[in-house]
Amino acid sequence: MESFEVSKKEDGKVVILNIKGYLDAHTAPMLENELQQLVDAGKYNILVNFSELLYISSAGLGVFMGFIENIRNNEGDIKLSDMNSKIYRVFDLLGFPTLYDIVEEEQEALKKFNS
Amino acid sequence: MNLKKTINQPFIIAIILFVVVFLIDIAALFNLSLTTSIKNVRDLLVMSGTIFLLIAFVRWIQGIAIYNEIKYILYSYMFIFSINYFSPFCDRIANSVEHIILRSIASIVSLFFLIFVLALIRDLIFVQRKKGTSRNFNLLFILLIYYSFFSKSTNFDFNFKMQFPTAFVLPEWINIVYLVLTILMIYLIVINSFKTHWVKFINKNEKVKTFFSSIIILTLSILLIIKGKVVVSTYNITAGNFFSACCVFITVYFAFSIIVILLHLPTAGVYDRKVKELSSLHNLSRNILGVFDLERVMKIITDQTIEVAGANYCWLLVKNLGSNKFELVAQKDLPITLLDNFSENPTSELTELVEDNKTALKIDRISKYKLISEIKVWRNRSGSLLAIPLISNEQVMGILFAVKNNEYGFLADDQALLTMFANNATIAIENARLLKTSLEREQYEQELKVAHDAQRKLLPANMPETKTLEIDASCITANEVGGDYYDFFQYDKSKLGVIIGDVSGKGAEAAFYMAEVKGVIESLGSIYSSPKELLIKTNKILFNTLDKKTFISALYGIFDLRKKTFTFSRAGHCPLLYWSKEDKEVYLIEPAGLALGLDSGKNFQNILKEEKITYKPDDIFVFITDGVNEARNSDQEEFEEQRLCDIVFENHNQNATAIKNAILEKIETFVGNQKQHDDLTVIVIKVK
Repeated sequence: MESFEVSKKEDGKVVILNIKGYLDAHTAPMLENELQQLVDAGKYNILVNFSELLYISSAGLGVFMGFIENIRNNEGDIKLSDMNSKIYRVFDLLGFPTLYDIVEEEQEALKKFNS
Repeated sequence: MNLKKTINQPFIIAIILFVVVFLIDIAALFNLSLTTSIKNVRDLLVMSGTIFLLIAFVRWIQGIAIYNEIKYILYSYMFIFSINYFSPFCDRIANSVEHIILRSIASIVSLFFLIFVLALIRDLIFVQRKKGTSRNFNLLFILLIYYSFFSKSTNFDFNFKMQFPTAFVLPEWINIVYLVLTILMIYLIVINSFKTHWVKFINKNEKVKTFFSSIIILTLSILLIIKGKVVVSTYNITAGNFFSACCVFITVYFAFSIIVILLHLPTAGVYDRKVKELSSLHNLSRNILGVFDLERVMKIITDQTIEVAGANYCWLLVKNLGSNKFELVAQKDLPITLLDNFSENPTSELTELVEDNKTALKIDRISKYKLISEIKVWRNRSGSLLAIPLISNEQVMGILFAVKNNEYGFLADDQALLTMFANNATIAIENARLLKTSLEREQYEQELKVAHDAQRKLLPANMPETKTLEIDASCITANEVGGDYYDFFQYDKSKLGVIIGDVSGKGAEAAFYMAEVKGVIESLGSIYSSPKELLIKTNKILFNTLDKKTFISALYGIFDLRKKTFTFSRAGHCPLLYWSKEDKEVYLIEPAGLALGLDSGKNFQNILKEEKITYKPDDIFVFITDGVNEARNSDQEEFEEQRLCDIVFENHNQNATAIKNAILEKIETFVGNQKQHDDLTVIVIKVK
């Protein structure tokens, strides 16, 4: 089974999640738990860095859908950054760029959060 | 004891015989002269009755517990004794009908109970039946009968003088034969008295009681022998002799029994305990292997700990897999104050100590034990404690505790026994947990199977037949249902709808959503002639029913066979591959669009575009799901659309089925022995 890891760091009011490896139906619950914990702790400004992600399946995409409504209702956001072209392609095909703020680099997203 | 068995033929015969004897006695009273031969007939009748009674009893008393047999012997014998020892009917000459009736009843009742006792002793002898057991007893019985006839003394003595009432004189040597037979009888009495194996099969408590019972029986027997003249002997001399001989046998038998019980008494406790251990082991293993009822096994373990190890109270803690904390799963006789304490917080210093050491903990004197402060709670009421860990995979999964009120209560033997119980508990818990996991897995697999079947049924069974289009399609499902779906809708003769989609969920849920998509499109397809409008409407309906995390990518289009156009919209799905014969080129057409179920409607509507292609003969349309372009090889490379385009380019002269097969074969070769991780669907439509 392919591995998946989430690491977390905080930058001001923003929580940055670095996701690594394969995000599919098996590993999606790990990210789900992580996001749930942040939401429970009232941290609604979340940046997900995709730089080390190798693969994402539709179940992986579903994870973000499960939280976005609640987070936006609490004036927060999930922003996605540093996607490689293959991953971006998956998001693009499904039309996600119209729903999510997908930016090139982490710094850009942080600026957007702080503005 | 069955009543039907009681009234068996030998019993009836015996009763008839005794009635005949009674009638003869009445006749004698009225001075009807009785010849010697009639007297002998009377003897024979009485003894035959006795034999039939024994046969009846032997049949009757099967299956009585050993200790109960001893009790019956004691009560019967006390009854016989009271009739015969204190009876006023010992006067030989009966002078009234009343006397005869009472004497007859007393004698017959005595014989009745004597035979009952004899039958019970036979049953005791037969507890450990061997080759000669039956022969020895029967021979003894025959010799007792023989003795009754030929010893005409009322006392049990060795007067072998033959007083056979015949006119002719028997030779002297015949007395030697009688002597030999009598010695043989005494020998058989002793041989049969050795058969006291039943002592082994009663428990300590019963042994003690049996010991005293035997002493009473022995005493009564000796008293009867000393008195000699009993009621039965006045009723019939032969029966009286039989009675005396039986008394001797009973005396010898119980004398032996007393000795054997005395020899067994010191080891009786240990013996009982071993028997209990065996039976509790048997009980446990049967329950562990058979029932998988964890609660029952736990209860048996705590019950047996009390019963076999003699603990005053005990309890069993098992670690919960989820919380990783000890929980009280079973207890027996645990004092309420402690019980309250445990249900709140079963993890204590004591459990921690056992868990850390992973070995049994034996505290001989709780009052002097300093290592654990919490143990003070028990000082007032408890003497010693034994804690045995349940170890699985070198982890302590539970602890069995037993407490005795007295100090130094637990021996090494107890520890071994409780360790055995703890091992059994471990096995039971592991079995139960394994069973649960496998049941869950089975349920999951069953669900997947249902989903697979449902998915199969949702897909079209046959390809639609049209004059101008060649159509072929395949859907290869992965082990994990990814939720691929495709379908064709024939609206009228000139219009054919095509949908290909992918539900993001898995399992039964995906199949369920697929069915919903099929239903929506089937009902709306004929109303909306524009694919874009149909998808907008479909999205609205699905958004409300889909789970937040679930979405469906779909591509829907309509072939107008008359106008030779294909109009389609792409709701977040893989692009359409279109080979134009005229241009000699493969196009990936990807109009803007959002997957179904992601947005409530407005965004979806704004983004979605509709595309129209006017096709010519030999043009090819290929519809795929992401299982195709995301198929991975061992280097984790993806198949990607470009490879697909190349295949279509190379095979454009082939028919639809050949193109489809070429695509599937290439994917298969590309993937190699890697596991397919997603459903994979290909539809090829070629214009004729």
